[in-house]
Amino acid sequence: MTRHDIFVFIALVLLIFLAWIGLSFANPKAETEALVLEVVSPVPFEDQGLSWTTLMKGGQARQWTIQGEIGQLILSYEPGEGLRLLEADCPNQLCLHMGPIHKAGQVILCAPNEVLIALRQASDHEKEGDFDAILQ
Amino acid sequence: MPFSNDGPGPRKLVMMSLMVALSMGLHFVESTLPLGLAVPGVKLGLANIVTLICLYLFTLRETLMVVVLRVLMVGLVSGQFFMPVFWISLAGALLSFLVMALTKQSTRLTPVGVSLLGATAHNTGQLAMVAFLVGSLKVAFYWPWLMLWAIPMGLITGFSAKVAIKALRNTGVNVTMNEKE
Repeated sequence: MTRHDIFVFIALVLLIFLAWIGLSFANPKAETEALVLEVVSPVPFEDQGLSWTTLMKGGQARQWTIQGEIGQLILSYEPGEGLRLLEADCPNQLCLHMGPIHKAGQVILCAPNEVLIALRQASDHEKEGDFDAILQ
Repeated sequence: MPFSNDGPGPRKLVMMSLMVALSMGLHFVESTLPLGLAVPGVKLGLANIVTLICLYLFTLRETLMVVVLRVLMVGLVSGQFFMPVFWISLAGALLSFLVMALTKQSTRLTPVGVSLLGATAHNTGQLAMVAFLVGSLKVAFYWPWLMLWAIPMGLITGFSAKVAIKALRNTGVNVTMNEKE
């Protein structure tokens, strides 16, 4: 290892640190009331944009089936825990260990199925004009 | 082209085939490791050891051949040919090859430094492909996390490749026999 290598090493560590800080700012920790469920999948998701408040209000476990590129995924909501995948048709099943998620900016990804499950902050008009009422 | 007159000779072809086989082996060894911390579909890149060795022993064109063959063969053997996982590993392998080839040619880095950059490029390339396939930049969330893995991985591949390159040169297997020197 020469000093050039050490320079690369230090530069990379700094870069990661900066990226980490940057991404933390991009996803400020929000109060859970203003969260919205977003699912990117090959087949459109039925409860797209479902608000976290609605989930909490129900107060009971729920499950959804998501159609992915290879097969089906089962997404579940557990009160007090959050969202996680119960089952997935993918080779290494890593996505099952990625939850539960319950904060803004958190995501569950199943790359082989091209499915991304994310919690994002509700935009202002979603907050104001009772979004779920419009959905139903 | 592989079979034209100025291409690699038979001995070198054998070495290259061995390298493809070795990198495939490393790929499968890696997939048996219980690394539940990584992002699904994204590999840490043990096979980068071979890409690195090839860069130092073969020409650029030959190295690229080994890299592309590895991705194709792994895709065929694992039944993931032209599936998302295949495109993800292709993106990672090509970007890391590109970055390692450039840094090896134009900087004074040793294999360790080249490997560090290659490992970060490998993970970045894979994540970029994931973002493209999923159609969302939200996966950037994982980037620092993946980079955190890329650094130890880059060091491991770098030091391993360094030892291997030295050993291969010392065995008298003149793998650079076709290069005009």
